[in-house]
Amino acid sequence: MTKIWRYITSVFSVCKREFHLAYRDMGVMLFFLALPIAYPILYALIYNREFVREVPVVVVDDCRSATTREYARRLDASQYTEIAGYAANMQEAQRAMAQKDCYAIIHFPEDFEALIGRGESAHLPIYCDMSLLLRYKSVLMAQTDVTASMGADIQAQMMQLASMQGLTMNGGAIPTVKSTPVAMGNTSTGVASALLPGILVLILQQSLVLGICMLAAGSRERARANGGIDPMAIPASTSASIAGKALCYFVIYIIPSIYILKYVPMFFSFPQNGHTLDIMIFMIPFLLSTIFMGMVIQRFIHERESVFLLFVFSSILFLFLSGLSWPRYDMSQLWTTIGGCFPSTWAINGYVAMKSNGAELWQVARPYEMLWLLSAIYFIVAWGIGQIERRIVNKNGSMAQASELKNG
Amino acid sequence: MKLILRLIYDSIRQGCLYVMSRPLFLVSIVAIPLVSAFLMLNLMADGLANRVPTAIVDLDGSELSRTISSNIDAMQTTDVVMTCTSFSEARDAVQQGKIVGFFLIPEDFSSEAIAGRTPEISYYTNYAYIVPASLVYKGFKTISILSNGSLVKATLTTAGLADGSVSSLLQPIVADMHMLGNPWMSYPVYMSNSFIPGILALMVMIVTTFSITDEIKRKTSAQWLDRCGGSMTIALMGKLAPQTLLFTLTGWIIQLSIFGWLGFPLHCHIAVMMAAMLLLVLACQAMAVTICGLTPNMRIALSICSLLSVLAFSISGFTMPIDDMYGWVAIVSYILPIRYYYLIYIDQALNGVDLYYSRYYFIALLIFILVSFIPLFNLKRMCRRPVYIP
Repeated sequence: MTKIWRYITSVFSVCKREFHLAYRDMGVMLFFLALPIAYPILYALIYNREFVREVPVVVVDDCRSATTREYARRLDASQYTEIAGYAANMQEAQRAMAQKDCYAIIHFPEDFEALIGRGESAHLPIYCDMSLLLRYKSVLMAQTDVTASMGADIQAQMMQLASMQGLTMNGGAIPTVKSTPVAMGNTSTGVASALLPGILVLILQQSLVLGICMLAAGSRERARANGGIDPMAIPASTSASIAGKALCYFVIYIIPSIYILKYVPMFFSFPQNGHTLDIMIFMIPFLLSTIFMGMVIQRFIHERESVFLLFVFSSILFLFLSGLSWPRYDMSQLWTTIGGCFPSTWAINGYVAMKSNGAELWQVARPYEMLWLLSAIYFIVAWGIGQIERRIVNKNGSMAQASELKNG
Repeated sequence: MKLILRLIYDSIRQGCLYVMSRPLFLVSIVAIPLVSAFLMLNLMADGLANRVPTAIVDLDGSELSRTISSNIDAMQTTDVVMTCTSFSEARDAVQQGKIVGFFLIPEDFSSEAIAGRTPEISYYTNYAYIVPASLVYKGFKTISILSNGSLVKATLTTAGLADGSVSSLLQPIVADMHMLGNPWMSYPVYMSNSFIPGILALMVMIVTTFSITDEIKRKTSAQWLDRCGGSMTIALMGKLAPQTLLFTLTGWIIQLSIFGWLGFPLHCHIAVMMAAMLLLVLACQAMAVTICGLTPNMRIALSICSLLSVLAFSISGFTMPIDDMYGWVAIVSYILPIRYYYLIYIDQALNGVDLYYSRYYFIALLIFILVSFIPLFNLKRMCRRPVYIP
C-alpha cells in the first residue's frame, strides 16, 4: 500500500515540477498557449471568405449578337465571375491574361448565333488559367450555370416554334427529371469550412509536441551543464516521471482544446454538429497519444531551438497524410500506413466526421480505437527510451564518480 | 584587397566546417526537403483522385433506376462501393467515412417520369472533404443531366422530331473548357510546385536564423565577428554561402525531378526556373538575416520565421487567391519570397508567357537581398555583446 502511495506522490511531484518548469519558460508558454490561441484565428481569417468570387474574365466577341451579349451579361451577373472587359481579338485577350488582368477568356465564334438559330449546337471555347483550382472551379460554376440557363431559354423558344409547327406532346409538356444536389457536412461548400476543422486539430498536436520537445531539450541542456544530471528533475521511476509529465501537459491542454475545438468553429461559423461530450471523450486518447508521441520525438532533440529545425516542417506533411487534401483511399498502402502512425490522421478524420457530419462516438469507433492503440504504443516506446537513457546516465554518472574518486 | 579576400576565404572555410559540424544541418538542408518532396510527389502519384467511393440508394427498383445505377457505376470518377436500402443507411455510411456521396432515386420514380409528373432525384455530397466531393458532384451532376436528357430525347423522338435536332435542342450551347497549362487537371501538378518549394523556403529561413543566432546563444559571436575582421557582411557571407550552395543544389534536384523525371509542365527554359530557385534561396536567407537583425533573440527570431513560413502556405495564395482574402491579410503575402517564386512558376513554367511579364517578381526577390543589409548594424551590435534569453 505504501508503495502505491509513494508512486502516486512521485507522479504528482513530477507533475507539479513540470507545471513550474512550463510556466516559467516563455518559449514553452508560447507553444502551449499563444500558438493554440492565435493560430486558429490567423488561419480562419485567411480563408474566411470561403469562395473565390468575381474572377475577371475577358470576352472576345466575333459574333456581336444579342445572344452573345446576353451570355456575357449573365456571366457578369454571376457571383463567381465578372467581365473585366472586351478584347478585339485573341492576341489582345492573351496579353490581358499574361498581365493577370483576367484569368479566363471566353471566345464567341462568328457563327455562334446563326448556329443556334438553325437549331444546331453552337460550340463556345473558354480558356481558363489553371494556376489555382479554386479559381478554375469558380469559372466552371459560372459557365455551367449561364450555359444551362441560356440553354433553357433557347429550348423554350424552340419548343414554342415546334408546337406552332403542329407538334404536340402528350399532355403538352415534356417529361423531365428534376435533380437536386445536396451538400452534406460542410453545407457552405467553402474552403474554410472544409480545411479549418482539420487544421485546428493539427494545431493542437503540433503545438503540444513542440512544447514537450522544448521542455525536454531544456532539461537536457541543464543536464549537460551539470555533469549529466538535471538539477531541476524530480527523482522518480521512468513510468512515474512519464505519467507525471503527461498529467501536467494534459491538464494544460484541456482549455486550449475546448477553445479550439468548440469555440473557434463557433466564432467563424464553421460546421458545428456533433455532441460536445462525444468530441471531448474522443479527444482524450488524441491528447494522450500526442503527448506520448512528443515524449518519443524529444529523444531526437538535443537543443531547445533545434525543435524548430526538425519539427516545424512536419505540419505540412501531417496535413497531407491525414487525407484532408488528397483523399486517403487514393494513397498507396505505404502512405496510409505511415499516416496511421500519427495521432493527427485519426483525430482529424474523427473530428471532421463528428463536427462536420454530425457523427456520434460509435460511428468514429475505428479512429477512436486507433488513438488508444497509438497512446499505448507510444507510451511503451517512451518508457523504453526512458529506461535506456537512465541506464546510460547511471553508467556515465558512476564513471564520473569513479574518476572523481580516483582523482580525489 | 588581398586581406579582404583572405578574410572571405577564411570565413567561408569556417562556414563549411560549421555546416559539417553537426548532422542536424545536413538533415535540415538536404534530407528534410528531399524526403518531403518524395512524400508529396509519391502520395499523389495517381494525378487525379478517381474512383471516389459512393453509394446508390435505389428506392424505385425499376428498369429505369437500374439503368441510372449502372451508368453511375460505369463512371470513371465514382466507384459504387455499396447499395443502400434507405437514406439513413447511406447517411450513416457518410458519417463513418465509408463513402463521400450517394445518389438517391425516390420511390415510383420511373412511373412518375413516364407520366410526366417531374420526379425528383437527389445526390448528396460530403463537402467536408472538398477534393473528392467536387469529383463526386461532377459525376452525379453529369448522370442526372444525362438521365433527364435520355428521357426527353425518347419522348421527343416518339413525338416525331428528328434525332439530330433533338440533341441540339437539349444542348443548344456546348461550352468547350480549355484548361491552360494543366489540361489533365492533375492535382500534383497543381500542388507540388508551390508546396515543395514552400517547404524548402521554410527550411532555408529556419536554418539561416538558427545558424546566426546560435553564435549568440553560445556566446561565440564576438569571436566569429573578429575572425572576419569585424565585418558583419563577410561573417554572414562565410556562414551562409555554403548553405546557399547546399540549399540551391537540393532545390535543383527537386526541380529536375519535377520537370525532368515526372515531366510536369515546363513551358520555359529550365534555366529560368533554376535561376528562380537560386534567387528564392538567397531571398529567404536575406529575409532571415533581416529578421535576425530586427530581433537577435534566438527564440523570437525562430518563432517569427516559423510563423511566417508556415503561414506562407496559406497566405501566398497557393489555394486561395489573395484577391479573395481580406486586404490587410493579403498584404502579408508581399513580404514572403515564396510568393514571388510561385508567381514566376505560374508565368514561366505553367503558362509560358514572355519573361517580360515576370520582371517585377525577379526584382522583388532581389529587393529582399538588398533590404537585408539595412539591419546589419543592429545584428553586429548584438554580436559584440551576446545575450541569450532561453
